[in-house]
Amino acid sequence: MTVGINTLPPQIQQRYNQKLLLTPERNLIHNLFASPVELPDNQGFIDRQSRYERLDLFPVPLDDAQNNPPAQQLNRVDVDCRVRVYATYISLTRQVTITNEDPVLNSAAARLGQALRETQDVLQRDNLEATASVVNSVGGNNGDVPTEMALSDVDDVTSVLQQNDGEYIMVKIPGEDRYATSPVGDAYGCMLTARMIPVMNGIDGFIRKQFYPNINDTLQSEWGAVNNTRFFISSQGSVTPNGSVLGNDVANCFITAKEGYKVVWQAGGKAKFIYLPPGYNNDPCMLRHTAGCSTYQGQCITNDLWVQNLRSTGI
Amino acid sequence: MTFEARYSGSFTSASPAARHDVVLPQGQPDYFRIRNRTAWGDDAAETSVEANWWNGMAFDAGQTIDQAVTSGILSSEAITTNGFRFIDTANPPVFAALAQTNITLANPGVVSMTNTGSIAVGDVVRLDNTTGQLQTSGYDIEVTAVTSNTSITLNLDTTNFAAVGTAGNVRLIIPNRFYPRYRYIMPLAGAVGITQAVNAVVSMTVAHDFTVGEKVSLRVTSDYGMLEANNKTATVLSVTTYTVTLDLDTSGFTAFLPPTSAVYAAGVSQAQILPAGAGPEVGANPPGVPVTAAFDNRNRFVMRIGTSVITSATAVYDWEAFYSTKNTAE
Repeated sequence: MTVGINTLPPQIQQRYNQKLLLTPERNLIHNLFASPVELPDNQGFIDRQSRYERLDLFPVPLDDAQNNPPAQQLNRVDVDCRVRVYATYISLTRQVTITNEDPVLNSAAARLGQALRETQDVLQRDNLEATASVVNSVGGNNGDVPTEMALSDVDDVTSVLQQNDGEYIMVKIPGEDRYATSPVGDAYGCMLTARMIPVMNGIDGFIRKQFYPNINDTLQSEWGAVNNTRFFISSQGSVTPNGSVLGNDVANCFITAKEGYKVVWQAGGKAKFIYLPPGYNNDPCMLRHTAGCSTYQGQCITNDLWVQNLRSTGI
Repeated sequence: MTFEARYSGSFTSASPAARHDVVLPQGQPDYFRIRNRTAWGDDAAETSVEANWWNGMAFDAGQTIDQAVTSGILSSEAITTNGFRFIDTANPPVFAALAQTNITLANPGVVSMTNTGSIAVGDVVRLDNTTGQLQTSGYDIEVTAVTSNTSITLNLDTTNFAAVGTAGNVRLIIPNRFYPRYRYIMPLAGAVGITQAVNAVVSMTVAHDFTVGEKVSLRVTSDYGMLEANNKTATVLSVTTYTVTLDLDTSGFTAFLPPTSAVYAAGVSQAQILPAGAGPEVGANPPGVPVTAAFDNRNRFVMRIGTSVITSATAVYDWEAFYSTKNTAE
């Protein structure tokens, strides 16, 4: 009998490559522009912040009798944000950790950390989806409502935010003497799904990030800019399934001004990694490890005029 | 074992018998069981007395034990519709579109459908491609009545729309439960969207979760007439399931009227009411600002039990949910 490679046992045929494959990690964009707030421990679970409203202007002069005008009422708006607890864990038998060649607990820790950060991001995404003002794109030409996003739609939202006295979040990137680059103005931040890339690239005047004069102060998640809005993408950006008039998926593109929304973390529980070796949790024979993570987070808009959801189809 | 749990509870079914949602404290159970305490041993009518669901079963499936009339003999049945449906409201399932053939011009609007699927009273549906009545497309609208495989009734007054909706789709959706959340403003029975009044009444197509003392902000484009209300912030004075009354004087404003189908098709942004914080509750003593308006995540895990399982009206049902250890395997 001839011994060929087909008769070799599997153990001989294969080698276990210890370099692990890359695990996809989503861009975390939805807390990029959130005002971070730390809720001290032992002070409740609702964070309240207040804003005193503007007073009326008084352009009418006092008459010659010089009587005092009536007083204005100073109004305050309270914005409350409840912090909730989120947690998950995995369980590994001791048999796995003492027989496996790769350090599986290390991988578990990495994946838990990733899950925690992506959860924090998704919570903010869902908050913005629930509370941001909805503006439909109408400048495109695909015949749907909303249409695909166009330059006029982005400018409309910029106009709304300016009209609402929303401050820019990012300062301009001045022009430099570099071929094919273009300066980027002071900008609001837009958070959106990566499915919007073809739509963004089709917007008149859209500047891809590589054509910024200087990309030293940009993030990996930034895709580009147009006029006074810079765009940040993620595979877990917000999409409303079948939300358009024609039943197509709708991208919820959140454009925010400074201090438009916030994220609240409990001081003692912002992000915890919890490892318990074998022997805990009714494990008398020391057969199981557990690794878990938890976070205490709340999120809310702080000024409804400063966060706009520019909806777009074409994805 | 590191983790095993069993949760249990009871509820009384509605009359007439209708599906019931059990809120679960954990995620998806490995096994769920329900038993009809009232009908157990009572063979006056054939009924499902016990039903089981295991993780891995198809959507709406289940296994029931039926009790025969008179003899009381038990028999097993595998159900594929109106059984068990586990729902994570933060990551809800997506449902297929169901065709509709007509939306009436009436208060409330009635949608003709030869297949109403699993739509039940209280569900939220989203319309699209509503031929002739596009101003109802893209909206989330609550269902107030269902005639199985014939029609559903919308929480919407379509009387003033110019034409019936002659074709299109209806899709069941399960909304995320972040609180409070914006709502679209549309005419309902007895309300016109936003009334012209000293204290404006705003109506919504889906039950809202605004509370007295809460601040809300309005978004109304000129397509809806009452442009003067745009960006106005007001305090909620009182609430009903689908309306809020505001301390906003709209008596001199232009009337609120949804756009025509043609205008809507050309592109508009829907009128909305948004949460904007909270202010002092009117008349409260001692004065205070309610915390009920706090932004919150109220998503939850739900086991929806259908009418193939809940077969008895006004019956006591006992349920149990089981969770077991999951070891991470290589």
